[in-house]
Amino acid sequence: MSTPTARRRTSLLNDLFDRKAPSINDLRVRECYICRQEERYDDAPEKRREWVHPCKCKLIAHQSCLMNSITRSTNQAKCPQCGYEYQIQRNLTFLTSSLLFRIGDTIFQAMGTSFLATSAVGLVTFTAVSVLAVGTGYGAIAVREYFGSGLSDLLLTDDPTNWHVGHHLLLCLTPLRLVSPFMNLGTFTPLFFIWPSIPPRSVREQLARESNGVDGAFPTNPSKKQPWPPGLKTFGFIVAGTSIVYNRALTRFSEWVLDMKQPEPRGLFRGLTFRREFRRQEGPDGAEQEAVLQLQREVPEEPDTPFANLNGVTQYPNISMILGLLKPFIASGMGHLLYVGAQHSSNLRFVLGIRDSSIAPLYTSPKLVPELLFDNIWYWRYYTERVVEEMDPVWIRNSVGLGLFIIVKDCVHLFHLWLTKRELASRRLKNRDFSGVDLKGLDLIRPVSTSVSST
Amino acid sequence: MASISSRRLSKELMEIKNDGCPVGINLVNADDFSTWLFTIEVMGDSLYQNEQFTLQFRFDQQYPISSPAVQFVVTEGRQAPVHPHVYSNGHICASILGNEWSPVLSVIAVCVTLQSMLASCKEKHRPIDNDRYVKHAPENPKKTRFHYDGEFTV
Repeated sequence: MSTPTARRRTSLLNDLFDRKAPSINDLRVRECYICRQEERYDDAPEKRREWVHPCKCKLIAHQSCLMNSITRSTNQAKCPQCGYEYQIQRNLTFLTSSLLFRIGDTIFQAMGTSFLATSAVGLVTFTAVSVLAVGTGYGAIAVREYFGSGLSDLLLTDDPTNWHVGHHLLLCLTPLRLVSPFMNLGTFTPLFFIWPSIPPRSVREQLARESNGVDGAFPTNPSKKQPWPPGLKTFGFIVAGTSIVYNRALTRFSEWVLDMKQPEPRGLFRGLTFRREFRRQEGPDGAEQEAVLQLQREVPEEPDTPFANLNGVTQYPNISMILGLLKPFIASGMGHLLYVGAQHSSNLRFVLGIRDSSIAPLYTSPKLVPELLFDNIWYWRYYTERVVEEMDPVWIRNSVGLGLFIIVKDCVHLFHLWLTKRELASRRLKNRDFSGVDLKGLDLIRPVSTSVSST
Repeated sequence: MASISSRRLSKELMEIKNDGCPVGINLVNADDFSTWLFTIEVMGDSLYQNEQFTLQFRFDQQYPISSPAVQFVVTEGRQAPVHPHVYSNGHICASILGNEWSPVLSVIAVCVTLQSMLASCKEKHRPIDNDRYVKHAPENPKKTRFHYDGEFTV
């Protein structure tokens, strides 16, 4: 067998004859430009590594070093000396199959992201919707308590599909309005105006169906319109007016009782801004800033009054919140009481609009809807008006009851404040005599001689 | 098995010991394979006559595939040269230390390039954004993305 040297000489000669250029394996000593390790052409086989000459100049390197350099860092795939761009061979089967998998991965990734996004959005929406649902439910219950089941069942029903958009909005906001620090009748005022003029479709259909089975005379003349009790909307205006008047009267009255000037009407945010301004006034004096840190919804303090703490002492925000939420039930309870009371007094019955049970109302049974008029909207309006007129006006006695309750509560509150004020006014510092003090230092009217002991 | 960086650095060190450094460049310290120190002076007629600066090289495990972190030393009374591409904290804005680094370069090659960068300077002034850069500069100059017209982003 020819020696490696002989083999090399032969291959060189062959190359010369074949005019083939030498390649990397023809070098005597190879040095990798990356790791600077050398390898001689007659090194033992186990020390040999794969080499590559990928460009046009004389730089050569180990395959592994060069691949490392290109893939691991941002080094470009071109020769630093001659600028020739390295050409990389790839295995096509591996490439295409890995590409396919990459496409699949990207698709799944996109699906995953969209799922996460939609579920996040869904969660937020769900929370919001459930909060709104609770609010709306509470609002529906409140309306039912306050206006009575008769009216609620006829015009609103328990089925939300019958409600208009305005109903939804108003009802779900009811708890908030009740809780805000307006313990007066005004809260319910808008609700007087939201009643639709005709019953919803399902109620109409039911009424029409029931009327089919019963024969009856169609009343040609409605009962004559009495000035009292007023209709629903009129009563709403009355309530609104009363609450405004009452608030003003209450402010004046409490000022008179307590001898104190109340600040501007309490608003949720006005109280806050006053506090903030108050704090800013004391800015330069750093020590006092700490004292005014909480922003409360209460009436802000008057800096001048000696009784500045009066309202802070007697305002309990949690109680007013609970009272606010219980308003409809309080109203309904008071209404019941008034109803019971009204059985014994015909004057009370007149004021509250309660009808004598002896007079049979004309529309107790839901008959008398002639077939011809099932779809006539004017008829339904007329029908509703008549029915509401004849209905037991629960809302009147509820409003009156709530009003009474509020009056009583405010009086009790004022009394509490008045008592506190009196107590504060009666506070005095206790007096002591000058025993134990050096008498010579005191400027007495009748100077005491030093030999006499002090009393 | 020694890593690629230690093998290469020991090779470079051997060459420096055998062939010596170029004029104006002196090896101060090469005790380990993580930090080397050189002093460089600019020879001949230049704005930096008789000024000597200390250059610090820091290598990571991927040297020479990744570039070394090179900066002038500014501790213990030493100053960085006043040059439009050298910040007062010693960081250098040079392309061969960034996107133009390649494993064919070596430590000596970097020293020589920086030496000629100083020698070819026409006017001694700090970079325009020197104060802004020094305030927010990272400790390792490789973390800065220099745009090689003098500007930078961190």
